Amino acid sequence: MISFLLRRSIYGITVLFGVVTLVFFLFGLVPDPARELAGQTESEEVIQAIRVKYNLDLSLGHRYLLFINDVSPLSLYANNTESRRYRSKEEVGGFEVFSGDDNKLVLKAPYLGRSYLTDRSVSAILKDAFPGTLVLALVAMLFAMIIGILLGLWSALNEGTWIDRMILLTASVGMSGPSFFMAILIAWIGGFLLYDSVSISLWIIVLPLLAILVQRMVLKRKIPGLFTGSIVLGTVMWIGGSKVGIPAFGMILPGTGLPMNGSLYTVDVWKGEQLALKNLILPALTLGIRPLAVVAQLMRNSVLEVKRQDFVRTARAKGLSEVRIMSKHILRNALNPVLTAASGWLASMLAGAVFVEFVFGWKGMGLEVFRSLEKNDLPVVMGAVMVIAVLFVIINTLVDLVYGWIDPRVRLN
Amino acid sequence: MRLRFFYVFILFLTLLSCSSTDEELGSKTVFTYNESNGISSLDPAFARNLENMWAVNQLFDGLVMLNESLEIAPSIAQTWEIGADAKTYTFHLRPDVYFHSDEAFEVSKRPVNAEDIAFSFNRLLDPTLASPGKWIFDAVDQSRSDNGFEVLNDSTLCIHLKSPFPAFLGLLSTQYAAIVPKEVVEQYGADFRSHPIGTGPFKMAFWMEDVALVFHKNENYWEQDEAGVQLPYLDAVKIEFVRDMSAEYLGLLQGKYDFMSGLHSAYKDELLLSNGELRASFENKIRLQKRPFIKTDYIGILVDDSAAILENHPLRNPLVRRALNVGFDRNSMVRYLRNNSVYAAGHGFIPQGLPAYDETADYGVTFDQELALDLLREAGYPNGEGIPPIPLSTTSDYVDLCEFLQFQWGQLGIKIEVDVLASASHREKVSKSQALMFRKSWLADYPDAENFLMLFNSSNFCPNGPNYTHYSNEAFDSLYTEASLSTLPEQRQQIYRRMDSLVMAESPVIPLFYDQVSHFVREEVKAFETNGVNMLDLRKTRKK
Repeated sequence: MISFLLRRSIYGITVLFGVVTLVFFLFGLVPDPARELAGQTESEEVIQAIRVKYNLDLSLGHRYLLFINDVSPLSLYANNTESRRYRSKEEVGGFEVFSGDDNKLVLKAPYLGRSYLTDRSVSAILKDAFPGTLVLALVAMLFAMIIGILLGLWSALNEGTWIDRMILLTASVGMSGPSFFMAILIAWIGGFLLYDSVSISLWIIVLPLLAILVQRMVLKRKIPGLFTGSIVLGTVMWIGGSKVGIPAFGMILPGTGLPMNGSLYTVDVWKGEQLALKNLILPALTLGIRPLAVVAQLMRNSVLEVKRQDFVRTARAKGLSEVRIMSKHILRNALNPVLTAASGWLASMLAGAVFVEFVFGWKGMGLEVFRSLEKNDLPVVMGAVMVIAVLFVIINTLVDLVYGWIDPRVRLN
Repeated sequence: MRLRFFYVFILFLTLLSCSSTDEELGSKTVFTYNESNGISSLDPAFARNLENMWAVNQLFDGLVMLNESLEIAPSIAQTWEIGADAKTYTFHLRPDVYFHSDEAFEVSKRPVNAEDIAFSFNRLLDPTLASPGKWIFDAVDQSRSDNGFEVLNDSTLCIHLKSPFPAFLGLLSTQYAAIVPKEVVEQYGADFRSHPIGTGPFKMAFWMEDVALVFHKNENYWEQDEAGVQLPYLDAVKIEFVRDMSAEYLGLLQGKYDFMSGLHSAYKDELLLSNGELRASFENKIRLQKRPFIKTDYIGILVDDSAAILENHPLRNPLVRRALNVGFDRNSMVRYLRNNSVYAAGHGFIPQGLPAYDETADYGVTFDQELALDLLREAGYPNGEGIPPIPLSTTSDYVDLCEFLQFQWGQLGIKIEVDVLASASHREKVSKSQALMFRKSWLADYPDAENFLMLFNSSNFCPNGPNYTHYSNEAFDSLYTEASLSTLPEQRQQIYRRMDSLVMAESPVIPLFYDQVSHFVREEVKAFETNGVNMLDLRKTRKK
């Protein structure tokens, strides 16, 4: 276990180092934002002052070393406050391990610097943005897992019926819809079309229900076209009925009242920060749709596969109840590949669902990365990249652990 | 078919349970608007764009301010005198101006004194702060031990200039020159950006970055209206940061936002007719408030004879540049691409809204395709023959304008290659004189034509100044000096006009249009005025 974790840590640090170095040097290729920050007048003196303030006047290699020094837990700083290696003590924090004549060694948390664009501390920016992404990803994943597993199970238990086919079809639609398209579509439907209350006629609900009931209970067989026909008839009676005197039985459905834009928190003019869970619904739905489809399909296939295994037949031969077979034998084994897939999804969701956050204006890591890339705001990009890389490593490690716990055959080695 | 109904139905059921709670505002009035570009800092020293300036203007005051007609009006300074040498400015402060309360102060009501003014101005000059507004004190005699800001007593401050600079008070009205308290700045350091303490009509309440910003009314604001009622009338200001422009537009229609500024392709055709008027369906809900915005959008042409990329280039010939200047139809451009919500730039570089702007002046830049062809022939390039394709640098926001020019100049036989760059790269390329032809705009820092004409002064060559075209003309430079020495405003305007005509004759720039402030305001908002520098002033705004 310990050697596993140790190996994983080394692997993680290597990945982190590689990513950070790559991104840092890639950024050396684009012009620095000093000119943008200097305002319209672009006085060369001010541009120079801005470069000095953020060390942009130094060579790329020099800046990289300073950056690594800031990020590393053990860093070397000069005692001389004028030196470029110095950061104000309050800003960096930590405590001195060793203090020489010119330099001192400081043990501290990684220091991520300040945003070029806003001069806000990068750790504050990330601390601010991360909860939004975390909540969004977890809720979307939870939604996808619960609904997806249930749908998959339902589908597998009704193999070959119209329920199965419908779920499969829905799943393939959910999987193939590009996320930015789905985001815009769901924002439009949920936050605009259905925002205000709509009045619909009862006919359109009653007639199809009647059709299903008659098929199931009375005729006990399926009549092609009956369901569709009932919907068409319901629509005709809704729209045309009033003209010939058939009451429409209007029913007012409340609107969603869901905003197309919004974050986890809103700001009340008098009370300040307020949790706004209703802003979460549409983005979580959007973000959850694809994993939901994947989970449902995986679950279905997995259950079907496990159902045909010998040990299920044995269990049944032993006289175990269907419920017990399902919960104890099939479900546990079928969940294994589903959980692995789901945790992979979660990791990438935490990396920031850029499209979803962008379309819904959801404040999170994805939106922050997008904005800082757009503005060449290197410190924020580096901070976000590091957080995301660390998350990936941690989640992958956890997944391996969970996997081993669920399936004893793949214990750690 | 079945699936779709099933879907909609499920969606209904899922969403039925959600209800909304409205903020209870009672009788308090809140003014709300959206800032899609976001606000990067509330520190006046970093008020480098309109977004920041608007917010800063609610929180802070300067010594002086600009009124609606762009005249200098008193603010923290009640009165001032200008010395006979036009180089010393003595300000007498109001006794009743207090900073918003803050823990950093030792007293509960901390009055503003002359030391605060000197501190604020010296702070701007500090190179470690790296404020983009440092240049506003370029005219101040910084060789003095007090950097030119002499505190005479608690309520009197004297500013010493190097040489006479008639527009100096205009510079003091910018947000960079807002007054900040020493104690608070020193306590918060760089985080003063989110702990702004000033003397303005509103004070900081909440800021959740990228979500919303709220200011509350400053109960101790120094200003009262004519009837003696304390300003401001509004109880709070809320700024939201929704990036999506169509959501902002919807918010305005729903009454969520009280006003919206500027035109965006997301909604411009829904709101405006092609003649620039508001559609009738919005009557009684929204009104359009417009006035000239002192800003010129132009195409610049590098005219530096020593530039390597210009060697033997036809663009060095003023006749070719003039042909370009008269060779496209500004009126069509403004009508089709901007819904007539800006003014075609037919009268030189100095934009509408400044006193030096001359509506009657003919600088010979009216659209005339025949004249353009004649000029090309005269220059030795009949029908554009012999002119290599010219690259035109722009950012993505202005591609439509550049393509319009590409088409119209194409009819003269001149090929244009539109080169779309990211904003940072575009600025870099222009200021390093690597762009032969570029689109840019210039926005008044202070309402004086000098601020526009400095783009052609040979001492302002980029990268050390804003003369991006490297235009150089001795006659122009001597007029420039003459204007700065002249104390008679009308005489100065005359000189400015002559300078403008000199520039137009050689056409190092091709003005496209003069901008317009377009504010879409909800009818319930009253006394919402703006001025030619598009400042947001909510002191006297009311809401029904």
